[in-house]
Amino acid sequence: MSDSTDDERPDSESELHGNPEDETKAETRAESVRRWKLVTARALEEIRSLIKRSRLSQRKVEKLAGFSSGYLSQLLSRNVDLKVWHVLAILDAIEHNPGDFFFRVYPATRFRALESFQRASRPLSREMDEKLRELYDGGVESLIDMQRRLGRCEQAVSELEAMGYLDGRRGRPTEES
Amino acid sequence: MSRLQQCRRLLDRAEELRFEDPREALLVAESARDQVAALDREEIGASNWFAIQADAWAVFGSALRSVCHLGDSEGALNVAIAFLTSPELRGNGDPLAYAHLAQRAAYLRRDQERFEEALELIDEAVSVYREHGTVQALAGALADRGSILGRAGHNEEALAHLSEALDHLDADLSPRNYFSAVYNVALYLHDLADDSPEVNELAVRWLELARRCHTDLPTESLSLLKLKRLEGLTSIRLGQIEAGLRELWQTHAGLGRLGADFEQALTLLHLAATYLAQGRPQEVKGVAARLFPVFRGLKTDREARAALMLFYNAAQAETATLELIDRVSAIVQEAQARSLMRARS
Repeated sequence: MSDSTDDERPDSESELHGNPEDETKAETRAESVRRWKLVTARALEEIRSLIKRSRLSQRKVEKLAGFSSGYLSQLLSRNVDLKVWHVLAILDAIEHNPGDFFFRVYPATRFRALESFQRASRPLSREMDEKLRELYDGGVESLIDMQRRLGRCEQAVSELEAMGYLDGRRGRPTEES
Repeated sequence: MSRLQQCRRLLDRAEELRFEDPREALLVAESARDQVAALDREEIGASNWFAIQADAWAVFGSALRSVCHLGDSEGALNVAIAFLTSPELRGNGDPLAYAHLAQRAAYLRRDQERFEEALELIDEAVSVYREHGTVQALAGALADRGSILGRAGHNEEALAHLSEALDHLDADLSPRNYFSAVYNVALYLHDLADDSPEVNELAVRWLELARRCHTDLPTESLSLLKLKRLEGLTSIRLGQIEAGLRELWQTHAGLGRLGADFEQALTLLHLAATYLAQGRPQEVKGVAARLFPVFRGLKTDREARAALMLFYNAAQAETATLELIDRVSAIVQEAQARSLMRARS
């Protein structure tokens, strides 16, 4: 809410419906937190797998990395926040290339055409939507994301259509339209 | 055999069936998709689970495309992309799986006649295959690029890509891709040849090769009949009129048995054009009369029927011209595309 007295009128649109900009920011923050949690989980999973493949015991890795006793276990069980220097120390201990590690955790996003394909797609049909719910019971985050994204695109396209920019066509004009 | 292996086999089966019996392929793909969804994530591991969900929806999407359900195919491919790019899989995702999916999406965009998007997708697949040195997959994708360009009307560019693809394609390892590439080379050469004897000669040699390839493949009647029609048209262009006419009549009969009305109408128009060019008006009238049974099949498309009726009347009055036949053929082709789109949506 703004400090300005004028903006504090109870009948202002932002007061009645909430500020859409703030909602978007909150949504973005929540999205970032969720993403970071997933990235951390992926990094930890990769570290666990590398330690296992190194054939060194956790205690040995801990020692080589210069951690105090029990610290690695705390890191892996997420009782301690994972930092970059933790990762580098562990990778050094097990003699694993950091470049390879980070590439696996953050693969290059080069599949732009597939992303464009998604953006230029129509939302799922009701039947397919229902089938997804039936098969996965709403339990797969990436599917929920996809449906949300497609819904947003559809809304944006509808708005552009309403403003007369798309003349009722989706994307590139084709016979389909 | 584990349930995961069973699912993989079912997905392979659906893929094979797509070329022989698309409707059956769709049923198998649907069943595979449902069985894959029921796999235990803990038991097979999150990465495997997400990867096979992506595969199952990709196969299902392609099966839907094969029966012309393009809208649902797009939806299914989007679900496949969502699984493949899910945070749980990223980092462990197989780049080749992305490339295969991009290739499937390219076929869909090609069928939707959204050629620029199709090319963008196929280029992505090509670059991944190049990077990974997967020769047959790369050659297949290059051939696909050729077919997209050809469908978009860029025959010369299409030929360049097909030629590069054929340098790498192995007829034993990828018989279907090989046949398609050879047939398409013959088709584009035929379109480019006009009166050039050298190009026509080349087109004939490629047609012979396509015919030889076809004997190694399971019966795919429509593609065989299209090949026969192309042979007929090439024979006519080379002056072997009677042989060419025979091949066109055989094609007409085969298409009738398949109930392919639009293709039948187009073949009859090719026959009419040949008779007209030969100055045989009685045969032109005979061909026009044969169009009546085809009209019935086209009753949903008023424009195509009207055009064919116009040709029929002109044929009876002996006033039909090659220009009129060209125009009517174009209208029938447009109607065919419209009908395909209607069926697909």
